[in-house]
Amino acid sequence: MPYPFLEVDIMKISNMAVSNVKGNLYRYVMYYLSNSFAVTAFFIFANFVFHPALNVKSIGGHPVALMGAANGMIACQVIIVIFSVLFVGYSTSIFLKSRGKEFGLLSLYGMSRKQIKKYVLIESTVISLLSIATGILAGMAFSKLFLMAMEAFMDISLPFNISLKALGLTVLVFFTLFEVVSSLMLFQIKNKEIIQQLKSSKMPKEMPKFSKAKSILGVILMVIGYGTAWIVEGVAVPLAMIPVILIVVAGTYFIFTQFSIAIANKILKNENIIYKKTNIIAYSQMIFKLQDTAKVLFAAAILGAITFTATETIYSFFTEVPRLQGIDTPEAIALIQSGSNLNDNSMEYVKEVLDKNNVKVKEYHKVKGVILYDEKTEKQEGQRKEKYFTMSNSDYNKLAKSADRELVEVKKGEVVYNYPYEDPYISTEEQDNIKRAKWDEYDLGVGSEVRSYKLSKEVHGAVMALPNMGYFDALILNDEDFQEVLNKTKEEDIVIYNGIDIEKWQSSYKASMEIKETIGEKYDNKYYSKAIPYKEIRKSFGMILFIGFFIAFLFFIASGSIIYFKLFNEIKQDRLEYDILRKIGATKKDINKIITKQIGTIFFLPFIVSTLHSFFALKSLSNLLMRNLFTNGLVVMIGYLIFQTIYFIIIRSIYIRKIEYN
Amino acid sequence: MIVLETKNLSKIYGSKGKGVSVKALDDFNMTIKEGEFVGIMGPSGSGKTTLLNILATIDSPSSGEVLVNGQNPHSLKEDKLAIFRRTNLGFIFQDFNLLDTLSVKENIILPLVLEDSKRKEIEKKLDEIATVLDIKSILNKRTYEISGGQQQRTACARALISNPAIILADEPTGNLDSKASFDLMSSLEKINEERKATIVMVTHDAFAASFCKRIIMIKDGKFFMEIVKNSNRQIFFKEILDALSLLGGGYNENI
Repeated sequence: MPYPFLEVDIMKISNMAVSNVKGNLYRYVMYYLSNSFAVTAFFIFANFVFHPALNVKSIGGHPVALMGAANGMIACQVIIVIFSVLFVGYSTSIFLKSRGKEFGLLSLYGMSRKQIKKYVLIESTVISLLSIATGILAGMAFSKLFLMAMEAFMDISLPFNISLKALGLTVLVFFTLFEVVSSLMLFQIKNKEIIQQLKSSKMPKEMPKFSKAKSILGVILMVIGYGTAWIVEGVAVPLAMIPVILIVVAGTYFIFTQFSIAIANKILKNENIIYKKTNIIAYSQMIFKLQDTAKVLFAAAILGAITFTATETIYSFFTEVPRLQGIDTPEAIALIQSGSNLNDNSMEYVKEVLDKNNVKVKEYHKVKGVILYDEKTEKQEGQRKEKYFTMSNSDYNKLAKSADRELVEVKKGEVVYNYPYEDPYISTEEQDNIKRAKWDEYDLGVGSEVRSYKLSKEVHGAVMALPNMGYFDALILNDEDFQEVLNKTKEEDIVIYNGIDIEKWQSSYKASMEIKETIGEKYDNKYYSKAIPYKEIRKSFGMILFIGFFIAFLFFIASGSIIYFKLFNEIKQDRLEYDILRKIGATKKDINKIITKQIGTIFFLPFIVSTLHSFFALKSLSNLLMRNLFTNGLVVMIGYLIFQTIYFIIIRSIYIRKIEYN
Repeated sequence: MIVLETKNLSKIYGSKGKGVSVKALDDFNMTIKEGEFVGIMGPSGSGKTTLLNILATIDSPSSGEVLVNGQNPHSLKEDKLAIFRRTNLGFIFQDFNLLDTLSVKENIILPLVLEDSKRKEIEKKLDEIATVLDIKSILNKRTYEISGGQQQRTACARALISNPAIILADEPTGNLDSKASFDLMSSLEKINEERKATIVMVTHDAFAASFCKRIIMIKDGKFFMEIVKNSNRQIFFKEILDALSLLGGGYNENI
């Protein structure tokens, strides 16, 4: 062997690294667990993506949603990789930074920089291998749960399966990631004097400084960003998005690094607040804590804002999907009888099936309509005649009343045009201002003659599920005129519209499908139940929703964790201070109060900022969709608040236990 | 009037049944009257720090009891004990134990603020104590901006501000140079004489000890001897050195 000493050297260093990990297990546990967590999340998702039962065809549902889902899954895996890089990178850097003194001591004892690097690299390799193993095992255990949740959301069968591809990918990605991240982090140790490293945790803290100008700039940026998000409407929303995000991110940075310290400084100068029992400690330490954690809090706030906004957006789309897809008809079930079906007893079957399935009928409307042809079309353009579903004034009003829409009054010889759509991207007032009717005077074929009716008004919005069954326009005639038309119309042009409104239509899928089978093929395109497309849309959007929540959950954990790391990284210093307090006679209650105030601020400050950010983002989304999504935001926020509070309580109690343990 | 009394105080370290146990204090008795300035000396391992920790109520005795103004603090529950410490005891530590997140002034008034005292009263007491210890000019500075001697006098002021029954000092000159030690000990002497404060100080520094009125020597956890100051400080200093050489331990080599 040319370099026998090198072999010995490696042996020694690797021994040392292993025994150091063993000996300081307690210190390494947090680092190891957080890495394992990242591996677990990644593996669970990869295992799902590579599931054999999961190819695009088997999901079914709306084609656009399908494409979105397929691309979305890849995008999600990429997001999880990014998440892992950030998370592992952050925890590694915190971990290595907290050990400055140890590296300093090693240098002092004569270890060369190269040896230290080798030692750290061996050590982190040991931890990373352990983390990968633990993460994959935990991932396997939780995969079953994840797949079960997916089954429920997507309504497909996903038997438990461990994909070797996913396994290989996870090992490869994380091994590379850990090695690269720790090698990069090693540069941090390089150019410091030993004395600086030894003292790294003991440097006296100087009073935090802030710049007035930058604090004000932060506030101004926030106002501009929020203001723009609030005002901008319609098509301008996507255009304004990027600049607004950049402005708000910059503003948030100054809010945390400057403005928060300015505020804390103001509080510190107010002796009425400071000279109240534990406040003196809580607030004077707070300003240092804020300075130390400003960048972490900023990162947590931005991560949180992404999480909340993503969740709110996905949740809003989920609640808005039926409307956007045009399946949200006034009546849950509609059946059109015409031609040979005109006088059959299919309605009795329908009622029977509903009864059998315990579906309660809220309202039932039977409307006799006539199909009339537009005689003007043929004369002027030589095209095929346009047809209109024509109904009587009193029938329309009956339907309009239960659909909570405007009632109309049609005089003899006049007609009211009903445009049964709503553009989801235009506000209601604007829609009402658009003229939709084709003619000012409708020439309609009645029997063998052509009658003219003057258009007196047009109403927008559907009172029945007509568009879903091939009728695109509806005309409303005076009752007497309609009776006359009806008498003169041949039976083939008579249509009976049956609209049934039921309770809990979302759960009527089974009954709806049974009706479809019972009444058979002759009712193709003449039977509609919104539970059927709803279910299909839910299938594909449900998956997006769930994956969205999964990723949101990851980011939520990540933003909480970086605060946790930061907090526990400095616990040694904090413990010294609490020890002093205890010696001079601060009670346990006093100390707990101080801790609660401090951790509470650090936990909930970014949360509040994230919430604000996401509300303004939601306002933009509302402007884009012309809908008030505030309730959705509130639901999501309350959900997160509960999680955050639980998280806070846990962290607080761990922290208190660690402070007391001495 | 007796302010502090220990009765058959013992402290045994180490687990029972494993055979390895150390008797840090062995049947130790001592009585301290109001207005006394007592030094406790002994070689390292003699149990003086254990004694001070027990007096400070941050450690509990294995047997025997401590009475402060007739009350046994070790029988109190944790939070009551903290309040007892706050109102009856003042501490001066070797490494000052100041909070560097607070200014000098805030460090001093901390015990009073925790007590929720009135602002006027706080200001009045602060002014008094800062004058005695000559730290008025540095009140608004931060702890890292002042010297070690000033830091220790700040700690002193914090110990005194709530007018405790006893001030416990643990090697207060341990981290100070001779000039700062002299200043601090003069201050303590002044406080003892002018304000009739009762001070119990653990030290191994004969020079610092010479400011006391009485010295109790311990060895192997037991009372060894006692010397009382009868004349001036220089003579008392020599007496202390003589006593220390009798005491043995590490002191012989130092002389």
